[in-house]
Amino acid sequence: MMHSLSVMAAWLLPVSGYTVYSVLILLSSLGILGYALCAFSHARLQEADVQELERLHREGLLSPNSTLEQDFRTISYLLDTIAPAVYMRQEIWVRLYYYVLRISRLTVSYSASLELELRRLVAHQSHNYRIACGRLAEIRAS
Amino acid sequence: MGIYAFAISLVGLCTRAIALGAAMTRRGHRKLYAVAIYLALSIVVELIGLWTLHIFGLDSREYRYAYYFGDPLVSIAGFFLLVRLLELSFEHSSLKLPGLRMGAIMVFSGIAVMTAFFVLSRSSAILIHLGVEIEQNLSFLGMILTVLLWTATNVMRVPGLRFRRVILAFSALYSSNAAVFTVHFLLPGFESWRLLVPLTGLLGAGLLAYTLMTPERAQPEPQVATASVPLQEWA
Repeated sequence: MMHSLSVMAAWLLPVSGYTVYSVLILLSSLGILGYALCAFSHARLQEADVQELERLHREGLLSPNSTLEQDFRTISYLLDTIAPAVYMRQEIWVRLYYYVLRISRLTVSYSASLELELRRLVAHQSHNYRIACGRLAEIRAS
Repeated sequence: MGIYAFAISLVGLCTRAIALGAAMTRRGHRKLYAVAIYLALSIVVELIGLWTLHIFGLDSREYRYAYYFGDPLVSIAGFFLLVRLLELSFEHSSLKLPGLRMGAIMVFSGIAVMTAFFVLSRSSAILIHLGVEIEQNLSFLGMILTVLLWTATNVMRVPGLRFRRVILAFSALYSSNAAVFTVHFLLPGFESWRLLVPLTGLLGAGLLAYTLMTPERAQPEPQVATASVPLQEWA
């Protein structure tokens, strides 16, 4: 214990007060930057209709036993196929945020808030898929 | 200015122009006219910088002044824009902030005077240092202000996705700026920090442009979501 403290003290000794403050500012600004970028996506997901995902399960498009990750991949694949045909521009942040959530879920064993956030993201993608289907139906009808 | 900084600068200029176009033309942005003024100012500053670079050259005093005083000017405008956003977020609440504008002016004046005092008291100080220091201090202040604004928006449940995303875009802009300035302070020998500065501006401008261009969520007609896509192909 004493050895660890002495090593720590020797490491901190040449560090001036200003440097410590600067490191704190750097860490806080990077933390706020990361939070702002995640919240930028989260702000959109707050209004996501989670029922949309359940509707797709009921309609049989998604397997009842599939995980959220599998649902996301299936819907994204379907959307990738339809979106160009209906001139639908896909949102870049959805996939980036999906990978952020996946990595977060891999590092944390279980978190209800992460689960809910991923569910909202899949629901948001499902909503986009439904819009694409609506447009496809309109094109077919015309 | 290398080709990298010049390219980033041009891309940033185009992004700001797109954001300004979206802010001016789309409906529902009337409350965000302050954002349009901020974007217009940042475009003018960028154009003046490019013009002085073209006329006087990279090593000229004119370009240096345009570069080192243009960015702080945009940061100051951003600070007052955040104050305006704070006013807007309290608009529909019972809580009134009568001295907000005066308080903001006092805070800004205090920071400017203190910065000038500390910078100009140095024997080797030149006027350009003042611009850099003011921008650095305003970046940190802007970062704190956006956090407060975001907290207030969440606590009061202020509606509007665009409004929230504008705050977050400024949060990303100021926090990345603060991080870059701190890296410069911690690692004075690290010359590449200058390459990060235009990237922070581009990040903020890109997020703002995306926010202002994205349409509000449209409710689709309820219907069965089916499309004939062969799943075996993917599986």
